[in-house]
Amino acid sequence: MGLHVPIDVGKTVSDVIKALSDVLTSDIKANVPFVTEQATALANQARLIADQAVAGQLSDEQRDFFLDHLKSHTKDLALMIAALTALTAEKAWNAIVGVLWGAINTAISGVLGGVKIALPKLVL
Amino acid sequence: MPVYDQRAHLRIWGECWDASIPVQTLATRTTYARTPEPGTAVVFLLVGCATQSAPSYDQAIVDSLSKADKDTLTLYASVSHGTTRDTVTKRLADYNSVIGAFDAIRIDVNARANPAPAIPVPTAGKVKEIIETLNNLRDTDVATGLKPGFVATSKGDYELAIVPALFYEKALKR
Repeated sequence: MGLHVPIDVGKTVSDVIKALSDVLTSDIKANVPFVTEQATALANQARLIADQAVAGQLSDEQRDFFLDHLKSHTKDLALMIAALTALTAEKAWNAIVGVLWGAINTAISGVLGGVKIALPKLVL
Repeated sequence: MPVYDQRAHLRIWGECWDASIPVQTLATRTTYARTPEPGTAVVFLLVGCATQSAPSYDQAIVDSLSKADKDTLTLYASVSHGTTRDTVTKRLADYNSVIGAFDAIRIDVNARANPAPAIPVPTAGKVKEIIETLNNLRDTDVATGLKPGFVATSKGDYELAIVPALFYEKALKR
């Protein structure tokens, strides 16, 4: 039977903050430019539909088709942000759980003869 | 020697257990908790099982989307100055090729397992919109030929779908 190694709370907190910070920084860096680009594309498309309809390049039916799609693209952007946020939540969860359960397993493995506790699962 | 029930043990020690994972697959993901002694059961534990809230990254889907995008942009470039309906037969094979490619991607995306069904996979809807946009482009070319302003608007519509689809599929690499 090995010795119990107490969890260092201060180090664990630092590790959690570091892991979370890495996840959030990386995802914000990738996602904010994408959302900005898509918002710009939506605005450009709105202008294009209006300009081409006025110029007689689009029939009424074609204008309505593109307006209907513009509405879908707008809704999709909101849903896309939700889907990307879910991915960030997943990474954040796995980062925190990895640190916490890693600390727990390090603390008890000596006592339990190498037995490790499985990671809990996040259900979204 | 008693038969050890891995699943029961996993339930005792944690929640990271997916009943759909076959036991032989599990064996590759487990660690021995202690050295087996003669006459005793082997103890398995599942560790390192990270949560997934979205489908796994699929390089084949990314590659298919990229290839279909390249072909579609080439098609848009070829009609960007407008067309007349009498020459549409030269373009029909190209239209049908890209529409067919996106339809195949739609089937692959819809067939993929989504571990969190409450959060829809954006790619599925975007590919459906792309198919609608390209069908609209082809059918307009067949009916009346294409005006340059129509082509530009159609291309803007297409890009509002393909860009998010590619971005999300690449974001799944985690």
